[in-house]
Amino acid sequence: MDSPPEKIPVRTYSPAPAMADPLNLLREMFADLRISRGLAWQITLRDFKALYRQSYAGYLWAFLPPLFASATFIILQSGNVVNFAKTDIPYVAFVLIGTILWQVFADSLSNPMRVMQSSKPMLTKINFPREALILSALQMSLINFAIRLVILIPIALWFRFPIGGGTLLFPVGILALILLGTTIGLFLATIGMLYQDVARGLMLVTNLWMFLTPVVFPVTGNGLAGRLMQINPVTPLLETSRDWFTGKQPDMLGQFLLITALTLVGLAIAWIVYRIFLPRVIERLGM
Amino acid sequence: MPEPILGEPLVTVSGVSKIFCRDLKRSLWYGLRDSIGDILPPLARKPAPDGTVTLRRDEFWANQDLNFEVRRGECVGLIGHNGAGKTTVLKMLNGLIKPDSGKIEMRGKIGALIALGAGFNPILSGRENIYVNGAVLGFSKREIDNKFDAITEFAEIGKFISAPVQTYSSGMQVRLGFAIAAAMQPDVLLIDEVLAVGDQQFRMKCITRIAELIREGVAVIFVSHSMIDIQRICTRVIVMGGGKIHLDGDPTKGIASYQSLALQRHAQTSEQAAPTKSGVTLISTKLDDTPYASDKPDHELETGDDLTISLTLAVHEPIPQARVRLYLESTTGEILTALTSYNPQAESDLAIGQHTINFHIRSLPLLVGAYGIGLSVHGGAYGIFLPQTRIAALIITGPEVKDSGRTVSGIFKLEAECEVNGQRIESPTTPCA
Repeated sequence: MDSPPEKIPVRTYSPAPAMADPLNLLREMFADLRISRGLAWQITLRDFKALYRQSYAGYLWAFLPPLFASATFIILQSGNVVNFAKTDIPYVAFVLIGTILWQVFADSLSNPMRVMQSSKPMLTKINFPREALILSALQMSLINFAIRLVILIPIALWFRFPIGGGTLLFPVGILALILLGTTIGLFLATIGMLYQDVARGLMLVTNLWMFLTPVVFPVTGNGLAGRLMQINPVTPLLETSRDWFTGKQPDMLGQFLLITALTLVGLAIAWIVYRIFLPRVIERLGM
Repeated sequence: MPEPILGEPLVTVSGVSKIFCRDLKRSLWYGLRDSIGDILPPLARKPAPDGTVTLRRDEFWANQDLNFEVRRGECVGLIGHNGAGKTTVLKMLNGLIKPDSGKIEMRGKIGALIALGAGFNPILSGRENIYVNGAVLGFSKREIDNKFDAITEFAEIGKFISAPVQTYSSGMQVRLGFAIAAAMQPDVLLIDEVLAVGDQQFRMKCITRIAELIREGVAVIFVSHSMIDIQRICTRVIVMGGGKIHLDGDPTKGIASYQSLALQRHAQTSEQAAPTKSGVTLISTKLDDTPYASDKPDHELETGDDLTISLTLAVHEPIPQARVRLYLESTTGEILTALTSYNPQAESDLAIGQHTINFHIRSLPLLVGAYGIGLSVHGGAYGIFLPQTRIAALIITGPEVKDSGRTVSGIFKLEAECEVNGQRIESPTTPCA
């Protein structure tokens, strides 16, 4: 036993704050991200299968909510119950695309919390790279969007939206929406592991938030709602994505780029916070 | 005698402590505060200059100043009563939670069985769950493909592999969980009391598999309440009590020490719940003329010693055909043997007043370990005047039964010999006096 053992990984656990050695923290974060890809996909598959297994309608549930939400507003508008400002594309297309884009954002907002809830027994008992849950949340958001393409593509064909540069940029818009949702969702999920208030509050806020975003009616410049709509970070992302999809020249491109850049910075911070909070959260959750 | 050769240390724990909080709301708040301290080190909780940490309100030490090392090829049994801090240690070793002071170094791949089936989704089939759980433990899909048959065979799941896990019995879930973890070839294996759920046959299978891993050079830390399992595979035992290491050493000594701790707790709790309305009260117990007191309960003896147990009873109502029974019990309460004062031919009524009853035991056959002494008093046809109660504890401290570094033990001594290829040798289970 006098020969030194061949290189064998050493892990050290001590109460020293992780931020005291930021370089090492970053190294560990990226190492864990790399090894967590396979696991993330397994978790995504698990949650995806579990989502639709105990149901007859199955994958239909992925389409029904945006279709019903759109139907509601189309009926309200056509019956002149509500009177929204004029849209520059047919209202039906405006609402359908808006609702689906909103769903992409809302999904990615709630996915981090959902995947952490479904993995809670694992989190408190197994030490696996925690980055897998973030990746899984992202994958789930992408899959949900892919399913909704089944509605989006017929809309594009029906309304004969031109195919051009915007069509190619549309996925960038989707990605920006998903990243923004995931960033905010990740912050909330980290705190939400400790306090259930976050999950309940999020449900309330998401409903209100939709009406402060140009989902079912265009941006209206005056009044409190209009001002909130303009500072709402989802607005430029959603508007730009919709413009790209319908072949229009986007008029909020500047804000889009700014928000996206801020999102990337925010995501990095959310990741660090998540990683540092988790061991503390797990010890408080006990068994 | 050649001691087994051990490899380099894989687990090094130095001065480790952990603080928990009793109150949930406050605990969550401390968690938030500490997390913020982790992100902004200037806000972190500062220990005093001498390194001591002061407890905040409602906090307590779940683990305090733990120091130990586990080497390749060693199997350390971690024993202690419920709440002694065993699981907390495993969680820190596994990196699930951070120590509040001290340092832990873990070398190599860590396999942990802290909860079996923790990653199982009840709606998904056994097959799907094998892939999820395997990935959680760090396997790639191809590695799981290769191990799939071995896992299902070990788990004895059979055709249920396609059924949802929610239809499995708890035993089947345990089997599947262990089979996955056992297939992962770790350097360090942490096992919490998960095997208890399986049936006897599967437990033996797990123990055999763990023993194989130890021979292959894995360092194992094994938490169990089954002293039988501990004795089967552990090369060393750490006894925990109140979050501290009470003893770290040889399994037989460790188990005896744990059992005497258990007996002390038992004596304390049964004293608090003293029977009030029974027809008989035990006034005093003497073991070999030494008055027995529950706060200093360890009466130490060696295998083969004689023992006199002397009881003074106060009888409050006449007991016809009284039968005073003395039991020799294992620490878990199983009756090993019983003695009685009753003789059908003799007059045995006990009148109101004090009575002294002596039991003389010649040449105790008990081997190293802790044992309990129980008492019950019966009378008439079916009358129970004093239900079976533990009244004292014994510790047999020697001689040890050794077999090349491994301590071999059991409950009682047999007079026996052994022949190897016609050559007579002393049986290893017969202690050399």
